[in-house]
Formats: sequence, structure tokens, C-alpha cells
Amino acid sequence: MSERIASIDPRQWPPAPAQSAAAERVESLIFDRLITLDVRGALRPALAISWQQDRLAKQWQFRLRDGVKFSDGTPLTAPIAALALQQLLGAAFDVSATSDSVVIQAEHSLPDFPTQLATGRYFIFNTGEDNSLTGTGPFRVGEWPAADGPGRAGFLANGNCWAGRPFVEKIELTMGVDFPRQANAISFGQADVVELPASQVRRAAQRGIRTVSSDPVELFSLVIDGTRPAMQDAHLREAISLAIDRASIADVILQRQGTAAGGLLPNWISGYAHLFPAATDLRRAKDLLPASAREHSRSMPLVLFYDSSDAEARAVADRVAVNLREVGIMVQTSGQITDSKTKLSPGDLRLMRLYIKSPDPGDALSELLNSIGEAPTDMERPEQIYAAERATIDSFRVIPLVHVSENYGLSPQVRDWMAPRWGGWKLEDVWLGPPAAAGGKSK
Amino acid sequence: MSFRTKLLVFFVTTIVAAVTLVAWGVSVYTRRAFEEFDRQRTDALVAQFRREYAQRGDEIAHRVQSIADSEATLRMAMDLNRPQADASQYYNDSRGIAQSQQLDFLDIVADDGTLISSSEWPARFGYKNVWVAEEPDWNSKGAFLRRVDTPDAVDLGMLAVRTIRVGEKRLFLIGGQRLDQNFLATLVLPEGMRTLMYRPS
Repeated sequence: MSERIASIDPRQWPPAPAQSAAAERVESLIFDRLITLDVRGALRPALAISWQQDRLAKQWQFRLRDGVKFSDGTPLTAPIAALALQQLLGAAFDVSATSDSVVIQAEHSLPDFPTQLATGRYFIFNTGEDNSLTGTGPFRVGEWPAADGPGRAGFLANGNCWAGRPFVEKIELTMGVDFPRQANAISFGQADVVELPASQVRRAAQRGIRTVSSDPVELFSLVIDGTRPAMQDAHLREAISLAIDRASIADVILQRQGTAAGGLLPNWISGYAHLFPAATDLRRAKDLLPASAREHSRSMPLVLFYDSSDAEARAVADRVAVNLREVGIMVQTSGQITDSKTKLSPGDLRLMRLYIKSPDPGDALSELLNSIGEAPTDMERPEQIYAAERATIDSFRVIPLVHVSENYGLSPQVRDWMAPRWGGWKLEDVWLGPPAAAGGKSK
Repeated sequence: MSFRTKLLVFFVTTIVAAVTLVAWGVSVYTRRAFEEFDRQRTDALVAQFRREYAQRGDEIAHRVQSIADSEATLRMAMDLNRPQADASQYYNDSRGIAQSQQLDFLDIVADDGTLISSSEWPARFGYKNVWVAEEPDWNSKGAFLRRVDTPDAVDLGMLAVRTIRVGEKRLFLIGGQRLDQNFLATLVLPEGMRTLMYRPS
């Protein structure tokens, strides 16, 4: 995988969206949540077999599954689960244990709390005497790389897993591998599963590599720094949105593996994405900008930052700059390291990949708004979700560009790859068999 | 004035006049000879520069022709000639081809002038290069100078255009090298000759 995560501790969840998405994938090998989502996004019992709420949805009780053991043989008990959740949920929640249940008391009503617990970092873990973490998931950590060494981790099948032993005995995961090296690895039979950037999926399929794609779960978007003087003009922000040719980004740069986005949520989640058209309107964009603004832009171009390690992001940023130049908005693109250690320079615009981590529209939108620093409002009912999204789009503080799938290349031996619609892995279901017919693409 | 003095003046005047005449004649002859030599040398140097420049143009045209003659390019042209052809898959191709032929610029342009792929400005795909579609026979033409837009500047390029015709449609290849100090430095010039380039901003 291209990202490298420092630890498998859910308490040290990386803030960067790409890293947290990677952490979620890796940690789901080792840990389980109380509740999970099936491949269609419906809630399913995991470590909790049932749950109930009080009338105001402030107090939730989760009854734990009997006979579950951590990978070191320690039985799962309500106090262990409560302690883990208390550390992850924070002081705003009061988590207690009964004989067979975990009780969570919130300060305000949380009608979608089970969906929240079924995604993100809300894993149940046990802290050993040496501070090592164990989980109840299908694998346990066999080897974890040193911080300054090669990013190779090893995971061994957990024979104690309550859901059954996984088919594969061991997984070797190499982190921090760029996409070209991953593509080479799958081509030369050195890997069974690799990540593929959207722009490489078609080429990989032409080379006979099996490819699988999720539904659109990433959003390329321009996030505007409203504190910058140049970006406080709402007309300029709207002109930027109208000038961008999203279809050509989706069709050419991302090689038809993306869809032009006028809204934040993809249609498969919200069902109303058609209410946010993604059409280009150069005439209106030009009309919105007075000549003085264009003149000012020529002498002082806007600065657009992108992740310097992301070749697709660079191509998209350059294309945005070309589109904006056409309406007289000059933009200077600049690559920037976006890991958690580096302080980001202020820029007028930032091209970001935002990750959709839940098939639930409210949760997905909350996560998206959180990741761009917007405070989510109440989003329980569909009309509230739509209103929140509409308000964000109409403010032009974030300009959606393209929704993109998560893509993988699989070796011919990999069988039963059944990833959820919203991406991620389910490696416990995968087994390796004799090579199947190569090539092809599946969802 | 005595006869003796007159004779002296006459001889002196005659000698001075003769010396002046000879000196003037020698000077004129020498200057003309030098100017002729200088003109011949300059002509030789300019001719050598032009030969070198034309050779570079031929090299560029030859490299672009090599790209046009390649099987991959022919396949691309045939593919793009199909109804509802998808040009997007070639969006990234020009950079690798340009590197393999040591060209600074390479644009792959469709029959209607739409840019399919550009090595110097990949993000400009989809925009029109109208001028290239207006010339009916590029294959008989040599290299020429033209301004080339890049993301950061406008460069001067020595370009050559070649076309591949499949059916009714043409595929244009515009390839070239940047004409800058580095380009001038690679020209093989006679000793003592120096080329300077003036570029108005």
C-alpha cells in the first residue's frame, strides 16, 4: 500500500484523511467493532449481538457476544470493551460495563450512534501488561516494522477468531510503496493485491491484470481558505467553480474511472447528486469577474497546493490551473508534503482527496465536513443532510471536482475478493487458488 | 626664392605627393582586401551556422518523422479514426515518446486540431491548435520557429510537423526543441564565433 502508518493503535488515529483510511484498513485486520456493516452497508452484529437505546437516544446498551477471545486467549469482557471505547470516545461520553453489556451515555441525542460505531476507529482492543494491543479480529500482528526500516508488516491468522479462522495463514503487507512499484509488483508476480490509482486501472486491465473497483468513495475537491484576502470574494469562488471542466478530469486524467462531481456525496449514497450539476459555464464565470479582478490575478496569481507525492493530484491541479487561466484567473500550482509531521503552508486553494468512509449519508457527510474543518450540523433526516450539503456547496468554500473509486489489482490466484461497496479489504474471506483466467474487471 | 630653394621645394613636394599616393593606394588596397576577406569569412561563418541550424531542423523533422513512422503511432491513428474513438487513453503518451526522441516538445493533435496529448503541457489536452489543421501538406515542410506555450513561460521552439493520414482523418505530430542558450551552445561553430539570441519579453 502507498500509505505508511506508524502504529496499529486506534488511540493514535492519524489525522490526515489518506492515513486514517489506511489505518482503518490495517486495523480492521486485527480488531473488531461492536457493530459492523455488511457489503451493502447494512448494520450487522459483530462483537455486540444486540443493542438498544433509551427514548432520547442518549443512552445505548450493547450486549456482547459470548465466548469471544482476544488473539492472546484473553476472554472479551464488558469492562475491557468499555475501557477501550471510553478511550476512543473521549470525555463527552460515559462508558460503563454491566455483566454482559457495554452502556454508553452521551450528552446529546445520537440516533445514528450504531452507524458511527460501525466505522472509523471504534475498535475493541485489550491492552496487555507490556502495553501491546490485541484484538479479536481475523489476524494478529506477527511483525511490525521499525519506524526507520522498510515498511513491511506481517499478520498471522488468529485461530481464536470468533468469526472463524481466515483462509490464509499469513499476510505480508508492505507499506509506503509508490504506485509504479506496486504496478510492477503485480505484473511480475511479486504481490497478490496492490492498490491502483484510478488513472492506471484501464492500462492495468489492458496488461491483463485483474482489477476490482469500489463504488466512488473518494472526492477530489478544492478546499478554499476563506481567511486569505483574495478568497473572500464570493464571486471569485463561484467563478472558480464554474470554470472547471470536471468531465475532462474524470474522462481523461482519471481515464473514465471517476465521475464529475457537483456535490459532496456520490449519488449511490445520497440519491440526489443530480441536484448538484457539475456543468462548466465559462461565460458566467467571466461575467462574475470584473476586469480589475482579472488584472489583479495576473499580477498576483492564486496559489493552489496539492500533495506532492500524488501524481494524480498534480495532474488535476494543473488542469484546474489551465481551466481557470481561460477565464482570466491565474493560478500557480505547488506541490507540498502533506504527511502529519509537516506543517502546511497557507495557500488560497488546496486540492484534497476526501474519503467517504460510510455508506450512511449523514455519517459520510459529517466525515467529509470534518475533514475540511467545517462543523457539521444536525443531519438525521434526509432533508437536513441535503440542506447541509447545499449550504456548503453554495458557499463555495469547498468545490467538488470528481468522485473516484478505490481500485485494486489482483493476482490470478486471489479468490473471493468481496470488498464492501465503499472500499477497504475483507482479507479474511480471501483465499489463494490456482491461477484463474487473467484480465477482466469487476465491481 | 633662389632656384636651389625652388628645386628643393619641388622635390620635397613630389616626394611627399608620391609617398602619400602610394600610402593611400596601399591603404585602400589593404582595406578592400581585408573587407573582402572579412566578408568571405563572415559569409562562411553564417553559411556554416545556417548549415548547422538547417541540420538541426532536419534532425528534428527526422525525429518527428520517426515517431510518425512507428507502428504504435500508426495504431493510434487507426484507433482514433474509428467512430466514437476514445482519445483519452493517449493523454499521457507524448511525454514518453518525446523523451525517447530527445524532443522538448511533442503534441499529438487530432484532425480537428484538438490536443490529445502534450509533453510540455499535459494539462492542456482538449484545447485547440487551430493553426496546425490549416496547412494541407506538412510532410513536405521542414522545421520552423514558433512560440510554444508552457505552464510557466512562452518558449521559442524549432518545430516540425508530420501527419499520419488514415482514411479521411489526419493525426498531427508537432515535435521540436527549445531554442535557447542551451540549444545555441550545442551548435558546432567555427572558432571565434559566438551566437547570441535576443528574446523580447
